[in-house]
Amino acid sequence: MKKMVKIKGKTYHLNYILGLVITSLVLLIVIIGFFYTPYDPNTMNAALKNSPPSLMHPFGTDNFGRDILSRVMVGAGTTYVIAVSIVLIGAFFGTVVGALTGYFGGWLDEVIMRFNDVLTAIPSILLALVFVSIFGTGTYNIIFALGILFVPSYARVVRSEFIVLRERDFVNNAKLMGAGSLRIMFIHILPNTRNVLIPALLIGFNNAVLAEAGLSYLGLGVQPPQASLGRMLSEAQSYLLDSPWYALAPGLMIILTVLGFSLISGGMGND
Amino acid sequence: MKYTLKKSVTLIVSLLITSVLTFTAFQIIPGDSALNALGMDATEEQLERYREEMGLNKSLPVRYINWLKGALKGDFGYSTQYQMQMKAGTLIKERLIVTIWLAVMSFLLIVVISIPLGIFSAGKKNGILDSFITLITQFFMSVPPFFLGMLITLIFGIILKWFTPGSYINPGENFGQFLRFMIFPAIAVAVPKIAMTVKFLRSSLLREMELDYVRTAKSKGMTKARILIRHILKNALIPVITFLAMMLADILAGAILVEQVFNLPGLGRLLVSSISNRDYAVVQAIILYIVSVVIIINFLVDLIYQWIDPRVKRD
Amino acid sequence: MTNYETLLSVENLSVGVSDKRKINTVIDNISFEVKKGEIIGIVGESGSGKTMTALSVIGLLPPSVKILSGKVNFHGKNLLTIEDKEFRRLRGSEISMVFQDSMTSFNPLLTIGAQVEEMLRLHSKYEKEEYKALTIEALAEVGLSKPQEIYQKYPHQLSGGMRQRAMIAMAMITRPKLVIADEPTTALDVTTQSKILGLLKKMNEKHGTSIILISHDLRVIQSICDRAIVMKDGKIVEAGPTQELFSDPENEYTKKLLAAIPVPFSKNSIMSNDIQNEIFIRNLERSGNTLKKDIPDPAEQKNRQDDILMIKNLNVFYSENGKRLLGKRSRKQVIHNMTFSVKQGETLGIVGESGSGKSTLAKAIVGLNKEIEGIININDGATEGLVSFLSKPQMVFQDPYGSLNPTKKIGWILEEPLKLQTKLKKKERLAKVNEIIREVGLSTEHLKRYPSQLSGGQRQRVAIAAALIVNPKLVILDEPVSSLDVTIQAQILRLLKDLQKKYNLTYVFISHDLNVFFQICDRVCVIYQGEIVEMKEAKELFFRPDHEYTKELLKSAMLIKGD
Repeated sequence: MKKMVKIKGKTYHLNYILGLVITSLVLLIVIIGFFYTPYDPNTMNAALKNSPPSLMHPFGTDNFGRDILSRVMVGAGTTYVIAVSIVLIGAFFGTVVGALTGYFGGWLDEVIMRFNDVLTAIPSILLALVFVSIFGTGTYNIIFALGILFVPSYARVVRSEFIVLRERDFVNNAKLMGAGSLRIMFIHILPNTRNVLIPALLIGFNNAVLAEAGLSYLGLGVQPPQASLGRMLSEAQSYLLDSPWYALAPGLMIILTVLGFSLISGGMGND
Repeated sequence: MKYTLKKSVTLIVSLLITSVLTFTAFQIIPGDSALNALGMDATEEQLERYREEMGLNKSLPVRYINWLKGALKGDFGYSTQYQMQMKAGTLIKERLIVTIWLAVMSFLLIVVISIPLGIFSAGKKNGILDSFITLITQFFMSVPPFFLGMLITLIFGIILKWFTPGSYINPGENFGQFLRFMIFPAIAVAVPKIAMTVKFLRSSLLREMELDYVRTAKSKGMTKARILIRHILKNALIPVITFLAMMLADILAGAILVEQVFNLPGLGRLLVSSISNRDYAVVQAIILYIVSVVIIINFLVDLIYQWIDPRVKRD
Repeated sequence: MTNYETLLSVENLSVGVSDKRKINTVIDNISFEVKKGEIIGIVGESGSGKTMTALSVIGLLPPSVKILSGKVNFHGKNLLTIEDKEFRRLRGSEISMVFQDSMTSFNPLLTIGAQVEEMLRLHSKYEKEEYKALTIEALAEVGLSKPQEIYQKYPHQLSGGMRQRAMIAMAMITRPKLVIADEPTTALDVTTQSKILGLLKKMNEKHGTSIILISHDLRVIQSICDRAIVMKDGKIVEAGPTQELFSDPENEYTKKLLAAIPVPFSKNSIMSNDIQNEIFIRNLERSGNTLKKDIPDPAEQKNRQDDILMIKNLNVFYSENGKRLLGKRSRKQVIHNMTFSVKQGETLGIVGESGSGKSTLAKAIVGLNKEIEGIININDGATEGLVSFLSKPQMVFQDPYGSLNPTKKIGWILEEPLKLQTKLKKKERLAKVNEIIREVGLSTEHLKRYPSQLSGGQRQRVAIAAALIVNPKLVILDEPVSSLDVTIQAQILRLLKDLQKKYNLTYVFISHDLNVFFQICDRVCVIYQGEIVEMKEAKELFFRPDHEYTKELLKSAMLIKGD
């Protein structure tokens, strides 16, 4: 039997609990980071340049003498805000497009789906790079670029749910009762997609975090002095030999964030 | 036959759309490419001559056709990021090999490791080992490939000294060394994908095992092994094939990032530097290449699908 | 053909499912025997344990189900204690199984021939060509024409009936001593059902194969079984020769099951009483009533305002959803030039098998399918009573699982039509909802629940309530009781009848199950491939069917003694 844990009478999978624990920890750190960090993330201190982890600086300092822990706390916050924005944009527009095409079908559906197919064939990083090369780098640009990139996958997920659900009798019933198409789509059908949509949101968040990290790592995302996890990693690369701890903190943060949410959404599937 | 025809039409349409989009996207960028190419000191005359030569004064559709014609021959115009006048096409050709090797090696690693691992973990369902494997796969899926690259560099390169970071060698010079070096970036790209594939294969297998025809097979008196091989595997692998095809796009994405970590002279790094340097001719070309390759491979997979799954043949 | 040698004997078998810490008993101390060449029926409603019994015999219980005690003796060996390897050898060669859903029970990626042949390959040794030849022979034996073609085909390319035959071929090809058939006909049309049952009987007679036939449908059991066992809640409540069991049951539950079968016009006996027929017809003739014409001509009817539904020259089409970008829209004509009418307060039954077009007709009448040519005239006028709104005809759908929105509470589901069709305020709406939920036999407690928390019968009551809450005059019911257990069916039909009387409703009742009709319908209309073949008063249709197809239907529904 998969390891189960009993809490207050309901049984959960161990992995799910683990995910909740990890995520809560990470979120806690980030939320605290909004209000307080041990040091100012941008204060440079040449004297303490590149020092290894110590009691004063649990994760050491970077090449400018800035405290890495504080930077990570703030950087994670930036990454999260970006990721959430991306998912919100992608999910909102994706749901609307998916609902409309899934429910009505027709030639518009065909056209949009072909378009979608082409878009998903392309590695998202590539599209993001194209976007960035056209419109420039920076936080808002990558939110916009990645948000749009996420629309097709949400559209596809919602669309396939709608295609199945629109044939169900409760939809026919709603039509008979006199409900209009919009009402049917968003009040009757949409709630039934939640089993698919919610895990998709979590996974989307993870992908957004990784995508932002990737872009910022390449130097095309968040620009200095703003901190983000990806940015910190690219800065860390040149110091890998001498100060490997530089990379450890932000990397670990990314891993824990993504892992936490994966475990939760994986556990949700099993409930 | 109708199915193949339909898919071929879609293929050509997709490729055309891609080329149009790619071309148009870069034409709307503000900025004067002549200025870009010749620098701030160029005179108006020189700039005009450049524009004439490059055909920049013609209309959009004409420029598109010219570009497309060139593209089909491999001529993408001139690159602007290096001092000497280099053709974009040449630059790309040089870098293509590296990226292709990286992608192919990663793909092989993925296929060779995921399939046995996936089957194994499906067999051990509900054991402690299974939960452990799930945890590990979740973990590796959470690691960004470039961070993994850094870790690999750190552990295998710096600490264990199994390879020297940054000592990339051309395949032409020393093929053995080339492979020995490339294995590490390939691992960096492959590991998260292996995790994903194992997870997917496992759930595909488990889903198949629940189906009725497995019960029928058992009722015929077949051993578990025979059922797995003859019945379940083939059925479960079908969705995995499409999954792997989608994976290809991801591999390329991973390659772009990993090249940066390992300092490989591949398409990925070229792309990034071209974007920073506004060398749009190169960017256009690379995008077109990569996207076309992905679309073509997806097309081939669709064809294979038809061959394998009799339910699709029906069309 | 019964030989008194015992083939299988189940002794004191108990089987349980582990649920968290407890063990729920699924089969409770049952014992029965199957003799050589016998056909035994196990009948019971859902949850009775009949399928578990079958799986225990063949050794395919799911991992969460454990044997608690007892023996299963087959040919001298206790199947519960033999080694896996040996049991595997028996499976397929001595004991085989036919499953309910032939579509999912076959591997979709292998040909029928390969799968049937596999049975041979597992248990016997022949030359390569011989395998193929024997397989084709087996396919022919079960009545499949062009067996060589069937050999090459894939499961999805065959019809349900053909697939089931193939499954029987697969189960019989090794000439097992015992075949277990678990609801082999439930997913099939009535006419195909009787053919499959006939095939099983033929196999039994020809090869002496014993059969355990499992079904929830008493009439299926009665048609070919020598003896029958009735199960309820994991226990055997009664067993005995089929004739006796059905004509003179002893146990209360058995009686209840028999009583629940809608039986037309006669007492508990399912076999139609020929003498009763004769008396009825003689009475009819004596009173001077001639049997009416088949299809009443609407033009001849004097009280036209009594007609609530009038259909004239109706053609209904059905086009594939999701029109393609290239190529024409594929449009099929499902209903051909249909004409009939329904009087207020009447219950018209429309019977047809799958493919007859009855569902499409239903959807057209209520306006869900707009691809029609011809006239559909609905005259429900203003309704009397406190309610002063016009209401379009409402529909009760077949599948209580699909017809209620799983994410909404019952209260919401019932309130929705009021929100959409009336101008009532919230308080008034809630009052109506409370009222209607009681009318259908449920309580206001149920309003707070979700559909998944109700049983099938309860859900159907909700569906009826939702249809009636807007006071329609005409209600179309599309297979409203087909997916319910027999005892629940009876309850729902009674409810429908009561409501009809109370509110002077008009029903158009669609089904494939003739037995249900004769309980509730005044007139019955038989549809075949989109056309009306016969339409009469229910009683007349039953006793004096004219059309060949009607007779076929009645025979298959085992309402007439066939050959």
